Amino acid sequence: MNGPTGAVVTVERLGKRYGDRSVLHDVSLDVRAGEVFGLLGPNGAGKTTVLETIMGLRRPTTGTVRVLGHDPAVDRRFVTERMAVQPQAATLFPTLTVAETLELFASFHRVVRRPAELLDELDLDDARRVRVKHLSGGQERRLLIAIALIGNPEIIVLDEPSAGLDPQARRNLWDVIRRQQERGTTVLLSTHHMDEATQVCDRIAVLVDGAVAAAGEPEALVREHAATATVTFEIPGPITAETLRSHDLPGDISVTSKGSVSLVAILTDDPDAVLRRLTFSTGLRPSGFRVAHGSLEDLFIDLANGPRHAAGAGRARRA
Amino acid sequence: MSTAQAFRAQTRAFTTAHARELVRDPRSIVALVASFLGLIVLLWGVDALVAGASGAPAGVLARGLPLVASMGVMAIAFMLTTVPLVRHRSSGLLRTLSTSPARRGAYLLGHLPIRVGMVVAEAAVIVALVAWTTPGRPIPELLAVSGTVLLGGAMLLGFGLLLAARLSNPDVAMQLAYLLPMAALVTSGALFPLAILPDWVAAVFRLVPTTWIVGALDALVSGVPAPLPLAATWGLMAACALGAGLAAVRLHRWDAG
Repeated sequence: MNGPTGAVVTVERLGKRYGDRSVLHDVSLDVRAGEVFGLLGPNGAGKTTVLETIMGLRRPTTGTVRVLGHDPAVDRRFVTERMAVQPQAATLFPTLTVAETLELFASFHRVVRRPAELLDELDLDDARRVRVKHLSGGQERRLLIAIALIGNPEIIVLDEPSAGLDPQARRNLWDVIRRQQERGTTVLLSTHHMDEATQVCDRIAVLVDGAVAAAGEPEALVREHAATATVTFEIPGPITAETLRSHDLPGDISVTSKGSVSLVAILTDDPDAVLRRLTFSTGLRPSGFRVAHGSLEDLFIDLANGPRHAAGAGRARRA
Repeated sequence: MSTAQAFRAQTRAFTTAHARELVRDPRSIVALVASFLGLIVLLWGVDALVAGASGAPAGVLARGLPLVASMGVMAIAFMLTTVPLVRHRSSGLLRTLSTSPARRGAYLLGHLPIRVGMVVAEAAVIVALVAWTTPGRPIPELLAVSGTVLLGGAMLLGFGLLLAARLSNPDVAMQLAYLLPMAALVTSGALFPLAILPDWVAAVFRLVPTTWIVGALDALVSGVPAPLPLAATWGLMAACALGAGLAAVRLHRWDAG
């Protein structure tokens, strides 16, 4: 049963305390059917606590969590039959092989995908006869993802799925996530990697200090919160920031000298105007232009390090 | 697939997984060899030494068979059942399973067949040793020995599961797996007859379930007076096996947290 807005996971004003320590405050988010939703945040922000509450492994101190309209901590069987989980740290039977482990977890489901197909998709085919205790960290992570996919779930929760994977394996994982989305599965994942969030997530929520600091589509968030760009170029010979300002260049100008050239960086919200004015300014002879637009990473760093919940993001903001 | 069919499929898969895990773990083989086969070899060796020195069989192995049987099934119940189950909890395996549709009952039931098979094998060895050390035994007596070991094994497996239902520290489980057989050794009459103890102490020790196994086997193997009629002993052991098993399923906790 989906929520009124097509949400399959609904978190409403979630709070969690451990003794006197509050780790989540008023977290609200909806995950819509068929989307890939990313939960971002620095270490200790509360991402795993949010995910474990959605998995039903922890009960909220305040607020509510619903998965397909059910309380995951109470309706365990309903939820576990429809939502699969790849925990951040999980232990399996150490002496079973990869293929035996996948067969075991396949037996828990009524409808399953072919284990051989999954082993191939997650590049575990060569390790099918290797015992779990002998797997590398990356192989074990991929096996956990295979276990989560074996039952063809409606929702899949991946807690930092790319941790410990090399760059190629990460890209393969993104393909797996996209294919799973094409099958109609809703994916909820947590990640530290901004490129991962940009590449695979339809929407994200950034969690800082246990609260949602920003939420929305990655591109929109970057436009909204990290609109500035940096224009860099070289000028032969020495030059000062004051001289450049006299050319009416919009933005914050910084100059560093390197050998016989000056390296100039202009932080601006109108990079096109900077380039136009530089082109038509006489006597400067700039070269080696580069324009770096604001990124999700900039936004993430701003939110994690800057004034709390920068750029208008509120504590109880709904994702 | 109906719910019952799904449960059976899960139980079969867990049975295979638990069996593979047990036979591939060298620690379980060492525990079994040391607690059962090692004790048999030790007592047989003493028998052979005494017989070599005195020229007459000493009957140490025959008299020690109740001790061998109880130590053997306790090793299966505690060392090979309680300890691995608690290790599953402390390592986080049960937490992983709790996020899947795996059923608690299927996980626990699947744990049993390989262990029951080992108890059956131990019972067969005990019966063979009784027949070998005291030739000419009637078949019903051998069947009674077998039944006592099997029911005693079922009872202790139930206790092993019950002990594992809540423990989350495998070191504590391991220590208990060593201490409980020692306590049983002292209280069961396997090491020395309970008759030499003050009456009230002997009465308390007769309430200890391992004493029922040793007492019944002593009566069957050596012909000493049984503390309870065999049927009553079997009834008690069956009731304890059932009660402990049901309580274990009811109390078993997935998570260590």
